[in-house]
Amino acid sequence: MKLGSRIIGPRLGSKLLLTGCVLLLIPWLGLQSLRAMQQFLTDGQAEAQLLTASGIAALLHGRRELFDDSPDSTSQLAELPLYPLPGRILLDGFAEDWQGLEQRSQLYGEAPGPEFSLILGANKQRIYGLLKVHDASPVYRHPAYLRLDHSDHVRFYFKDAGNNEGRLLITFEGSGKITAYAVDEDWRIATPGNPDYRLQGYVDIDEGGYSIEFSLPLSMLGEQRQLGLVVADVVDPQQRTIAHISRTFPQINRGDYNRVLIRSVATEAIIQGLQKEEAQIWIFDHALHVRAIAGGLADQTEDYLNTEEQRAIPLWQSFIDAILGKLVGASSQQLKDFDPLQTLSRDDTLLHTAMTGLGSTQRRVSLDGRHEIIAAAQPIRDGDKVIGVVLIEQSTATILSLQRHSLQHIALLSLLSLSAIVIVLLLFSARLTWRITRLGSDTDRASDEWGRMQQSVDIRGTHAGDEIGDLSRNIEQLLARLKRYQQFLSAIPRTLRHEINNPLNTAATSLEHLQSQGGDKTYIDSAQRGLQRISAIVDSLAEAASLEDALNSDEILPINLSALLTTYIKNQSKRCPLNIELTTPEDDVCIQGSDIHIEQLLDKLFDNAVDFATHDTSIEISLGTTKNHCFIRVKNYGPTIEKVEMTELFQLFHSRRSAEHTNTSSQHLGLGLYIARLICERHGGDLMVENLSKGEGVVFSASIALTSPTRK
Amino acid sequence: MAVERDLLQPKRYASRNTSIRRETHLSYKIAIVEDDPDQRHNYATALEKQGYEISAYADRARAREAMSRAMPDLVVLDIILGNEIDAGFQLCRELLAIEANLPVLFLTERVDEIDKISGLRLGAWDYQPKPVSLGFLVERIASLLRLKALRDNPAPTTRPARETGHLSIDEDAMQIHWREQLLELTITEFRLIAALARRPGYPVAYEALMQATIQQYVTRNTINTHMRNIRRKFCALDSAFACIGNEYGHGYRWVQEN
Repeated sequence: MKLGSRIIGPRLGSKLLLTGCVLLLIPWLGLQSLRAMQQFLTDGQAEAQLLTASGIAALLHGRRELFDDSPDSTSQLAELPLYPLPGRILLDGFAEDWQGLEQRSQLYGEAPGPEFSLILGANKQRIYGLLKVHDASPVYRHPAYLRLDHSDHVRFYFKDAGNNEGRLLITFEGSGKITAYAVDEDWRIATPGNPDYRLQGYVDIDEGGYSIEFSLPLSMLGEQRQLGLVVADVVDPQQRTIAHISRTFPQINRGDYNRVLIRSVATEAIIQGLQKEEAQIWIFDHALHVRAIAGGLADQTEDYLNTEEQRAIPLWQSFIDAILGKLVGASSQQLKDFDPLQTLSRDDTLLHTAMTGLGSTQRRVSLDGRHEIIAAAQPIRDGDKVIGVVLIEQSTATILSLQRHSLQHIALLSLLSLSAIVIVLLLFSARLTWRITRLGSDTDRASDEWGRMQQSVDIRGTHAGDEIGDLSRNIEQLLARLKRYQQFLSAIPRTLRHEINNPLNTAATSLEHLQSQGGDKTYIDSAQRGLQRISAIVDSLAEAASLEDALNSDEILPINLSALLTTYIKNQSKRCPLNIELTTPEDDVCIQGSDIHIEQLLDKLFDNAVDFATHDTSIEISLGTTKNHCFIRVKNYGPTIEKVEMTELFQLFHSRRSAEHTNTSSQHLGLGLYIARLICERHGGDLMVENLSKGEGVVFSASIALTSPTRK
Repeated sequence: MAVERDLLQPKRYASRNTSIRRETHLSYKIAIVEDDPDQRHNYATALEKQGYEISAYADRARAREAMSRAMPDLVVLDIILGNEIDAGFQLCRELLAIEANLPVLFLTERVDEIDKISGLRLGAWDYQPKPVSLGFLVERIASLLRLKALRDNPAPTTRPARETGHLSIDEDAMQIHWREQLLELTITEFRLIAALARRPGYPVAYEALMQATIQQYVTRNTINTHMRNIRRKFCALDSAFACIGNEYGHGYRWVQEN
């Protein structure tokens, strides 16, 4: 009967929540469609890139002059390779920001002349160079000398925009910034006297020699793009005469230096207009030298120096990034795809395919491993000959960021809708559960633990229109019917008594007549005993049935239970063959109740104890109190009660008396303990039974609600 | 007078083994209304043996018709007659309307308190639940007739009323006064009080009280119910009444007031 006494399986709320988990499919499906869309978009982008590449190739179609801009006079010159640089290089004499490019330095000079290595790079505006000279004992410039060639120095030969020869000389007094001077033809005296600030640099001196990092604007060089470097070594710091000279070009007097492999300005001008955001266009000539670059992947022009600072992003954002990156492969971090070492080799296959005349695309992961880059290459033709290749590189960042954005949207919306649904589900299930629980407890309350219907049955929630409302109404009707049936049942004994009394009276009066006429006394007596028993049975039945009414109609008076019990035991011990022991507390125990019914309760318990007590044992009766109740315990020594029987003991018509257990001759209908229980309940208590711990007897405990004597 | 004197000795019928002696009561006419022929016959036979003039009826209409022509001295009524559930009550009302002093004795299978109360409220003199012993019935009828005779011709009491504190018991008139006020009691209640007050202060066992009712089948519950009703009647006159004390496990006692 008790709710929640056995829990089988999950509760309603948990079940609803579990069912609600199906909703998690929605964001998953969204993600799947996003991925499909990503595939579609990247394919589309690759196509578009290939088309753009074709367009650019068509633009350059047949423009042989753009790929062959070197005049004959310089075509035989030694070349100085110029590597593309992502941005600015800090001029500090150290090689860090060259990012490994310095390994491609070329060596010049032979002993006894000075040996040096040189690497040149360029970004869009300037040429950068790193020069390392092996010189164990460098001779610094003496501040007192005007002549510049009395110390170790570096000479720059170049041809300017007007195709005139230019001469710049760098000398130094120690580590630090260098100053360049334009000098006379003999490389001795600075001609204007002022430093030429177009050439900037920094010298760093260590044991092995010195290294100079320098830069000069691209515009310093003319169309011929000739530049040559000479390192002059002064050995004797006293004499200060030039001992040896090493050059990057063979002939010093011919007026021809090195040809710098610089990108074609004209070609760059052409493709400049095609520049796309987040896309980089490369034009290569047939030798796969870079002819022009336009645009850039992400912010390639930014300084390398600042990258460290930019990594300082909040933790939570990087966490979200990590999750989203796992889901869509996108990253909000800057694209890092510039590695001068790999620039030309990574797309080799693509470029070589293009050189055979076929355009194609390829996807690859960016060098930082975080982005995907689509590269498309198309050949540039001149007639049947392939004279160059257009390469367009573009990251999928736009698509990915779009996707990332959508995913964030989906995630947010899913989260919101999911939590809303979960909350609504929770509330709904809580409401449902509450209503069902209330209905359950109402139903439970409608009858007591013995199955009797309560006087007033109140089922709440019968006005609701839904199924639970229906259920409530059904239960209400059911209970009403049950109650009517119970009333009918409880009326039966009384009706029975009415009906039996008439024939009983007939039989009794007839018997009397028989007696007066001198009938056989033996039979008349036994017939009379029979009638008496019938009468007693009918009376007991009616009594049990109407006891509740009687209990309810009885006057409730203050009773001194101690005094009542003492009197009762005193009177009983006169007629009882067994010894009776009574224990009462010192203070009087007072209750509110009906003394007649308490007496009746004692009768039932006492009769029961006497009936089951073995000979020569005593019956122990004790009165005790707890905070709210007092207990009358009636203990007898005799047979114990089986566990199974204990629950049925207080039911109507349950009798455990058999012929051998009965000490008294009166009949038992199994009403006694039932009535006793009713009386206890009426007095706010209960009737319990337990076997004595050693199994030597039984103790009945009747509890009765206590009232303090002051309340009288 | 000799007849009446004989009737004044109820102890003779106290035991149900006492044989009913044939007496002559020519002057009294008793009507019995009972739908069960066997019971009707048994009552009639027993009462005729006592010398009463008996007329017995099975239903209300015939009983009323006959009695309105010739009123009996006493009526024994069953309540349920055939299909009429309250026929006895109705008949009682009708008869008392004609003859207000008519002693009416309800003898019925309806044993519920509510029926008993409504019967007595109607003006019945006594209300006896079935089953009843014929000896008791005879004695009860004799008592009622004697009461009627006393009320019709008030005569000096042959025996003085017994006084116990404020309680005065007139055995002849079967009347009890408390603080000089008359208690409205049924005969059973009168007998119970008389039995209790015979030895004030001493407990009277349930068994003795059961005997005193001279009813055939009496339980402790019946005694308890009677005692409750008696207490209520005393309390109606005197709210401080507390002379009937429970002797738990034994019976009752009359507690003498200080």
